[in-house]
Amino acid sequence: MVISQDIKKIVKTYDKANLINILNQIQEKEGYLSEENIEYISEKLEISEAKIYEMASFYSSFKFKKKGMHTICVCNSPSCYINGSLNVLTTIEKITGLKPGEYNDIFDFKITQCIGCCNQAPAMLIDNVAYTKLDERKIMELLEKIKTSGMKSKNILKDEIQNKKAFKILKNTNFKSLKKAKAMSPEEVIQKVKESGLTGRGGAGFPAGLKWEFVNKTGKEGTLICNFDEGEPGTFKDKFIAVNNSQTLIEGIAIASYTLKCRHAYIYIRKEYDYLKTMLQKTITSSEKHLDGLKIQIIEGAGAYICGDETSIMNSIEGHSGRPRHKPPFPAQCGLWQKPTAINNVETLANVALLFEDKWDNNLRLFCISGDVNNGGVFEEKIGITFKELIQKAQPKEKVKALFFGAAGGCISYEDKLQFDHKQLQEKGAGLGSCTIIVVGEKQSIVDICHNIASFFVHESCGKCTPCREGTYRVCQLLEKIINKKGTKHDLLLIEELCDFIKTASFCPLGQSSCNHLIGALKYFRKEFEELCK
Amino acid sequence: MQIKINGKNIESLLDETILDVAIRNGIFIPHLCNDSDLSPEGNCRMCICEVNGKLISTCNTKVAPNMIVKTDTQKVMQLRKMNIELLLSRHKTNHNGRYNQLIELKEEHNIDTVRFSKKSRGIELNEQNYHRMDFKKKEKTHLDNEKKTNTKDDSSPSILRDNSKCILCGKCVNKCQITQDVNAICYTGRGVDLKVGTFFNQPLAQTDCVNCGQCVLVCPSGALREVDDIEKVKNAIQNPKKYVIAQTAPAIRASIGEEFGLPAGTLVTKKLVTALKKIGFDKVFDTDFGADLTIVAEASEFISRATNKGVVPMCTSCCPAWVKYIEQSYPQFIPNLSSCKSPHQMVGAIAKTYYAKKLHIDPKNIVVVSIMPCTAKKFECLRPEMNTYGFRDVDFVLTTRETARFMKSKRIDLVQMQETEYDNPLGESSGAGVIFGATGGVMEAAMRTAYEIVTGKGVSNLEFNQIRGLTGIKEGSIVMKGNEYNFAVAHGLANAKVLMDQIKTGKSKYHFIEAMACPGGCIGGGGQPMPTNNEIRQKRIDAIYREDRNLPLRKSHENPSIKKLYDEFLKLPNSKIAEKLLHTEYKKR
Repeated sequence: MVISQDIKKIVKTYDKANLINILNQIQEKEGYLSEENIEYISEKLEISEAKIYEMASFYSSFKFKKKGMHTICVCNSPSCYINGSLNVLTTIEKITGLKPGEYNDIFDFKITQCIGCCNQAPAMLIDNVAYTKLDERKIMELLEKIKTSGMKSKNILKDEIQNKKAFKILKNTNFKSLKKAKAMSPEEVIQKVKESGLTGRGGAGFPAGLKWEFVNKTGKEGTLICNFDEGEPGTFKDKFIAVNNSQTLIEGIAIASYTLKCRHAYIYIRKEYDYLKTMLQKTITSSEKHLDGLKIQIIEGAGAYICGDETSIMNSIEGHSGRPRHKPPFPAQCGLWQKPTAINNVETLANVALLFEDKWDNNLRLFCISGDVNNGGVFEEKIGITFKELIQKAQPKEKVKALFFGAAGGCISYEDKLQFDHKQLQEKGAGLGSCTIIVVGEKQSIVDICHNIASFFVHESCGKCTPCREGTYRVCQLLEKIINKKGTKHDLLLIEELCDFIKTASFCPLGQSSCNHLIGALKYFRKEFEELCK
Repeated sequence: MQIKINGKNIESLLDETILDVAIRNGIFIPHLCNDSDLSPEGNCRMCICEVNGKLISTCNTKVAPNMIVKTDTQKVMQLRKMNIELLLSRHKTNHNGRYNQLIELKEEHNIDTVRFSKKSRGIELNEQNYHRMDFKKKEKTHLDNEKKTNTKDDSSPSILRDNSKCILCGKCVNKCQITQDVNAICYTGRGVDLKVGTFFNQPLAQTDCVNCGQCVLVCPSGALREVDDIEKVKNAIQNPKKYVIAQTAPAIRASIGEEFGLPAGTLVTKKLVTALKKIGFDKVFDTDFGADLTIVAEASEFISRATNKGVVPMCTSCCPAWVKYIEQSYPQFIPNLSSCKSPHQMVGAIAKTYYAKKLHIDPKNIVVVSIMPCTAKKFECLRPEMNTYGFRDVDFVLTTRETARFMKSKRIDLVQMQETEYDNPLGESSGAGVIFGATGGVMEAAMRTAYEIVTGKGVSNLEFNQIRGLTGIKEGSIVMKGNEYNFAVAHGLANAKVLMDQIKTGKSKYHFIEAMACPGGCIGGGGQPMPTNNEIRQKRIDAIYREDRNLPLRKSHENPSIKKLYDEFLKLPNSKIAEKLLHTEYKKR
């Protein structure tokens, strides 16, 4: 079989960091990755074909045989589930005759995990473009359009543009902060960032200045990776920043790179935000004159929540599966290709540029609220705000029963006067995380929501360690048993035992936090579980 | 520094992991995915202990001063039990008594029931909330060229794969990708769909697998096993028409004792012969004789190439995994391979011609069984080139493990056997033949003979220490008649690759290269007793060199049986019959 010229051209662009980009591009062209194409890549790049297949088969979006002309990925994560993803699925089944997981000559119909459109739920991706606020009529129109005329990606970014004046995070600093930073030494910039108190916005909350100091102290050339793999269900703030203020993000990346003596930075963007790539690349290109030779390369993921983990992101860029690494050694000493590396979240890096301005407050955060609400979205509020005040802004549809903090952040029973504050949340068994709130109303079944989240983790577990790979699967199986009224009190105890085991024994934070939601749910809503048991 | 394990003060070195320290001091911490040849992965989570109050994995945590480790607290035991249960829930137990660490752990931890159903996929991934619509639906995995029902792969003549037993420790993948750099197997998929597979799930025989069996050697749960040929050999022995000959590789005498409880490195040569006779073999020959035969031919071949501007560096050809590796990955260097067959193939060819004539037996009634430390030899004996006058040189290959199982099935206790000598005329051997079992042995044996052929005198020091031992790549040189000849020895294919890449870029300074696919050489072969680690490899190697030292003859060309073979039958090294029986061809794959 002859390899097409297009494929050959794509493979020629290989530069050790972009194997995943090359595979993405080939799939874009041909619809899937064929044996022959992978053999060709293997030969040209001198990487064993088995290793390429191992890496490609790790990610959800890669296909290995032709499946229809158009890929439909319906989001089924908590916020979309609460807002009717089941109806979307049945509608599509009615129209296409396909069940999720099946394909025909035209469509490949899949269920996917959170695509970051939670405040406009229910949502789906068709050919990597997001379509939101779906109802039966809209779906029918969309699928008709595809069948008859193919579809050009509409300008969905329109829906995302916000009133910039309302948000401090959207202030465009026009590279003034970068100028200020470059007038200081890298060590002085690090000191300023440390003093500002900027903590990571990706969920772990590690002080950003300290992270860079570790890299800077090695004395070697560092690497910066901007983590744009926003995959936590219910989270869409990084997308919000990228759409509305990408220039400040690029500026933040430039400042960070300056302190790390980094000449080549990476933005790792998740596959589900593919439609933002062009806009982002435009911003990078138009910012070149300010960057002073700094190269910023966009690496696109291929469907793996675990790649939001800082060690997984490095493995992914190196051309491997996104399995996490053991720490120590820490990325600051031994990171991307063993070089000193700092991985920072999009919001963190945008804030880096903003903290050079007056009146910057580390306690001002972007809260993502979705679920049983009429006005979900991004809210810029201070830590310490009461839940009542915060949730009211999102206009809950009914009485609020519970709050789930993403999939990994645990859950609590809703209390008006509870404040969104690290200590108070910890006491309740949850965490601040990346300030993601999924509002669950009274009429929802907590057991259903937990089952939904449990299946999320089954899908996203990388499979490396026994507790997460086997345990999350068994937890999901047991929950299913209980939902179908075939479970007993013993099964509930077994779930609790499993949760404790998975939390304690898993290799990485994904596994360790995969049962937080259940631990919280069993603490506050045990009765709902027990009622379903025999 | 000092750390405390279970209340005892233990000395440890700076860079050691807690698990390594425990193993060194005989303190038991269960571990399934740890291998002393590889960096720790931390996959199985069996090694979790309480360290300074926290529960962490000990395989990948380095020791620190005043560390307090507790290996058997109630919480730790609880975690272990749950872990074993989860591993067992996806593992189809085998009951045939083979080495299975998982079952050992099950018994040690008194686990009677597994609280999770054995059915592997009763769940609709991604359709959890679709269950209300249709509970019975099953979503295909995103790897749909996988055959979901068929977990077995028996395409290879050497290695059997059965994913229903796999616990995903990852050791096999690491051996194949890192130690061997062959990359025949890999992970496929992710999460609960993660499997050990191949490129596009091809059958193993279609991949780049060289059959070295290093993966089998480390599998803790029996998902990878050697192909079992015991039944075929049994049938041959029970067939009154067949004259069944066994031959034993050098490595066996230094290793098979481990299968009967003897410490690694116990030589059991003459007991081995007795035990094989008891099984019912008509004759027991020694592959070491074949090794001597190989040296006589190969040393001459080397000298001829080195002095007549033939293709150098010449590469040894007795390792069939190495040969296949060259044929598929470096076919441009096929001319570098020695044309000599491997020792056991030579013995088989001679047995079915020279010996058949002596006994007046029709060669088609002779069955040659090679007892080998090697899984690749099962592939080698099936090669169409390994045929002489229409008969396979070697009919069956039994690994060390199979042979021990065979003996045990007949309640033959190797340890209790009397001693018997090998049969003649193919049982006499020199020390040079024995050392084939260790990495560097073939080169040393070849030099002992080559030197004498060229200079007319014996080499002053018979023992070439610079190419002995477990270092991955070793080199040496020898001066013969004023010319210096450089040689190199590699074991483990990733190391051999380094030498081949040197030739590729024109930077090789060697005239002769010995390459063994298995770390340690044949004593570390894929068919050897488990476990095999560097400590055990070294003990086996020491035994091999001990045997060499204790033999009256230490040079291949001095072997009187070889001389007789040439006088009576082969006549000259380059005679037509020698060419046909002792030499072979290779092909690009």
